[in-house]
Parts: sequence; structure tokens; C-alpha cells
Amino acid sequence: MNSFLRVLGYGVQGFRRNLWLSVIAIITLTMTLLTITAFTVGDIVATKKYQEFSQDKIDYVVYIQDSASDQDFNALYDQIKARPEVQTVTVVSKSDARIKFEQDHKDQPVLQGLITDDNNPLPRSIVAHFVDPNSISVFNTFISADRYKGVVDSTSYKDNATSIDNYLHFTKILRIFGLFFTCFFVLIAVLVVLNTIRLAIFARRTEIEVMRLVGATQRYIRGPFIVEGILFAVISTLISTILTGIMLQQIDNLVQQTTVTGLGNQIAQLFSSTVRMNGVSEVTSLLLYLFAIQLISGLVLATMCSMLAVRRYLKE
Amino acid sequence: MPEEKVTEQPDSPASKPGKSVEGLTKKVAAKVGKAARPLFKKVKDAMPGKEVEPIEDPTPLRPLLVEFRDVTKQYGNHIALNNISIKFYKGEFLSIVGPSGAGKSTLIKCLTLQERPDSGRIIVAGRDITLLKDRDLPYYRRKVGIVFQDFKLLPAKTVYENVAFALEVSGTPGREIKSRVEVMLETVGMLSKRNNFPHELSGGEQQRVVIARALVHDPKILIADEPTGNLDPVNTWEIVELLYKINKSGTMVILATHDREIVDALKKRVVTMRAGTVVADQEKGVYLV
Ligand SMILES: Nc1ncnc2c1ncn2[C@@H]1O[C@H](COP(=O)(O)OP(=O)(O)OP(=O)(O)O)[C@@H](O)[C@H]1O
Ligand SMILES: [Mg+2]
Repeated sequence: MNSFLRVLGYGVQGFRRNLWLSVIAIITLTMTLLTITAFTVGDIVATKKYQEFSQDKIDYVVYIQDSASDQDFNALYDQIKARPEVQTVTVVSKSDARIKFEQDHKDQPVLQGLITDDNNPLPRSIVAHFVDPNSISVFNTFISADRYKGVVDSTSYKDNATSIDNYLHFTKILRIFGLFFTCFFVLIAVLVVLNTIRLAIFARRTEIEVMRLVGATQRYIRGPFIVEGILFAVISTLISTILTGIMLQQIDNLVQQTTVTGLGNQIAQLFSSTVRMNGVSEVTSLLLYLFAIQLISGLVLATMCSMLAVRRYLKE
Repeated sequence: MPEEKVTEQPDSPASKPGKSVEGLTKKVAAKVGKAARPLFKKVKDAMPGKEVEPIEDPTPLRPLLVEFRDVTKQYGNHIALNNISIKFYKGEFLSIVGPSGAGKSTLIKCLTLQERPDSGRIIVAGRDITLLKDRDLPYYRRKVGIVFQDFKLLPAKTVYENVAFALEVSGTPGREIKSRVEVMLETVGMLSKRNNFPHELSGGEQQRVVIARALVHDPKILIADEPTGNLDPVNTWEIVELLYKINKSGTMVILATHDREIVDALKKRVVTMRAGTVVADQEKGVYLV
């Protein structure tokens, strides 16, 4: 207990009395954490956009021929529902389709009342939703089988096939590049942090030597440097969380304003699904999540680098 | 001669009547006695290996404390210690002299296990320290005090903290540290500068602090490698006096030096080294080389 408090005290003391090196270490670590944060946010934005896209385009609509019997319709419905790649199924009846048509063309009075339940050319449809967009082509093969020829009129796949394929291809490449760049930048950041902490410890090699010669155990020597590493990590996390919070708040303001144009508008478009969900601000929970990531990576980075850097001076 | 010097310096706190080094050490012992002893026991227990039985001792009145037995140390092809055998006794004041490169520092580094000998045994208080594992070294080092030519004080710590530090690493309780450090600083005459940082002190003052740090554990052996090498003559003599007084209080002092005047004035045992061997060992010696 005595030793624990002493190690803690020496960590704080070392931090204060080598303030200049501490400041440099904190700046480097803060920049590293911001880099990691940027890539994390990038990943979140990509995921949200992907989900948005899935909801819009990745529904597969099977239009049913009017001549098909209710029995055939129900059989097909059951089979679609039993498919493993299908997550949920919804049915759109002829009158549902009519209501939707009228809503879609609200501002064209000519079209209102054109279609009635008695005279309704719009087909019934079964809409399938998927978890994994990649399974769409599998489902398409299934639905295109000859035995459904008499029941299925047409499908939405034909219209969307190319854009879905392109999108899937694009996101795959984007993710690989994102991962590559994240690894690359994190590696550089780790090297910079390690080097800074090594410099800080190199400046105090005499101190370590003296500690050894007056009979300090390795654990006792290492302790204060790890405490300093933890201090670096905590302070850097606070700084980078505050900066991240300010950034997110700015973006949220952009998203809320309807009048922004140009670059501001593009940023708002990109982040709209990230910072807001159903109109409610997500900034706080997102920031909390980023704070956790920063704190954990900061602690891991700083303590690991401290241990690595001090290790060579502990050898007898 | 050093004794005369003591009387010439009445305002040195350590030389005031009733405040002799012996008296102070007893005071320290009385204050900290209970805690100090189990610590020593722990250190002895931490040393592995059987007790090494001494070969015949020509002077049984003085108990053997350190023995080098056929110790050889090479740096690459260069032989720094060539099959050295030598015995040091309890309470002795020992000077090691010899030309540069003779192996004085190497001998001392082998004793503090900053270097490990290539062959031979080094027996301290009956135990072969060359058998100590790296993780046992901290406990051994708490039993020897080391003083360096270049001081090695921690620049970011005050005088008090530099000395207290040596006790803190062994987990000594805070109140005990305070009393021991204060007594030790008083002994070396540095109590009034307890809150100064090393760069605010003269070389001689810094070396006093180093000596306080080395002694605060109450070690049986004080090892000093050229402690006066960076000091002017006045400071040199003050440090030598201090070492002399410390020795009188019962601590064995091993002093490696180039300084002919010191050695000749001390009239203590002198071991002369050359090219890694001991070429002379005089009881009340003078500087030969
Ligand atoms: N770490 C080392 N690596 C290689 N050679 C060394 C090393 N340390 C010492 N030596 C060599 O060992 C020999 C003995 O060195 P040592 O330092 O013991 O001499 P010394 O008697 O203390 O000399 P000085 O009076 O100059 O301090 C020297 O020739 C020196 O060059
Ligand atoms: Mg030397």
C-alpha cells in the first residue's frame, strides 16, 4: 500500500517535473487518438449510409399477376417467408397499392380518384427484406424459377440490379481501403507515440540507473512510468473528446439547418444519418462511444509504449 | 591527519561534541531499530545458495566480510580482472589505488553486481553473490552503499527527496523515512539544504548528499569509486573526513582513488592494482605507483 501510493505519487511528480516532455507526449497522443476517432467516425458514417441504402433499394418487390388465385398467392407468400436469406416479408394488397399511388402523386390532382377499387390495374405485391444485400441474387434465382411463371408478373430486381451490384462492389473496395488506411495511420501513430515516450524515458535513464543501484525492484521502477503513461492517456482523451464533441456539434448544427448549400450541404448529407436518428440528436451517445474508444486506445497505447520504452533500462 | 582536520572544523555539525557519527548512528538505530532488523533478515533470506565456508583466516580478530576468490572479468579480449583473490574485513577502511585502467572500477562493479564476473566467487557476509539472480539484486543492493564520482543525484528531486528515495524503494514507512533521512542529512551536514535541488549545490555538497543516500539504509559496506574525482582540494578533504568518520562508526569503507595525498594521509590498508592484478597489499600503506 505504501509502495503503491509512492509509485502513484512519483508518477504524478515525474509528470509535473518533466512538464515539457509530458506536453509533447500528450500532443502526440491526442493527435493519434483524433486519427483513430476520424477513422471510427468514417466507419460509422459508411455503415449508416449502407443501412440507409439497404432500406431504400434492397427491398425486393414481387408483383403478382391479377390472374393468380389467392391460393397460389398464399403458397408463394409462405415459400418466400421460409427462405433463409429473407428477413421479413410484407404484403401489399391492391387497395394498399392504390393508396400508395395516390399518396405518391398527391400534388397531381388529375391522378386523384383515377384509380378506384373496382377499376384497379395496380398489381398485388410481396415485399421481401434482407439482412445481407448479397443474398438478393440468390433470392432472384429462386423467384425466377419456371414454376412461378404463372403467378409472378415482374420483380423490382431488373430495375435495380446494376445499381445494387455497383454499390456492393464499391462498398467492398471502400472498406478494404478504409481498413488499410486505418492500420497504416495507427501504425505511424504508435511509432510516433513510442518514440516520444522513449525520448521522455531516455532523458531519465540516470534516474532509472540510480533507482536500480539503491535497490529498487523492477516493478517499483516501472510503476511511475506506467502511471505517467496513464496520465498522458487520460489527459489526451479529455482533449480529443472535447475536440470531437465540438466537431460533432458543428456538424449537427449543419444537419439541422435547411438552408445550407455547397460543401456544408454535402457534409450535412453525409452525416445526417450519423448524428440524428428520427430527428433526435445522437451526438451525446455517439460522443460517449467515441470517448470510450479513445480512452481504451489511449490507455493501451501509452502504457504499452511506457513498458516497452522502460524495458531496456531495466536489464542488469 | 584526518583527525586533526576534524578538530579544525568546529562548525561542521557532525563534528560537534556529542554529535559524533557514532552517536548519531546509535540514535538512528534506536529510532528505527525495530524495523531495520527484519529488513536485514529478509535480505539475507533472499540470498540463495549455501553459506560458503571461509578458507583459513589469518587474522581471526577481524571477521571476514568480503572475499574475492579467483575472480576474472573480461571485456571482449581485454582482461580487466585477472584471477584476483583478496579479502576485506569488517570495519576496515580500504583504499584501492593504481593507474588508470588497472581495474579498480571493474572490481567495484563486480562487488555491486553492476557487472558479473566471468569466473570466480565473490563472497559477501558468507554468501556467494555471483549466484544471485537478477530479481534478488535489489535486496542485495540495499545492503551496500554506493558513491560515484559523478554523484548521480536525481536533478528533479530535492536533497531530502534524493536521500528519502533510497528508503522508499524498499517500502520503508513514511514516518521512519523522515527521521532516518533527517539524521543522515545532519550527519553529513546537509540538513539546512534539505529543500534545495542538486544544481543549487556545490560539488562537495552534492557528494555529501550522495553519501547520505548511500548510508541511509545503514549498510555494512560503503563503496566509493573516486568520490573526490570531481572535487577541489578543500571539498576533497571534507569528503575524506566524512568517510573516515563513517568508518570509525563501524561501516566498512572501500575507496578507489587516484589521489596520492589522501592515501598517504589516511595510513590505512592500501591495495595497489595494475593491469587487472593486485601488485601490493600494505597494512598501513602509502601510494606506491
Ligand atoms: N564496459 C567496458 N567495456 C569494455 N572495456 C571496459 C569496460 N569497462 C572497463 N573496460 C576496460 O577495462 C579496463 C579496466 O577498467 P576500469 O574502469 O576498471 O579501470 P580503473 O582502474 O577504474 O581506471 P580509472 O582509474 O581510469 O578509473 C580498462 O582497460 C577499460 O578500458
Ligand atoms: Mg575507475
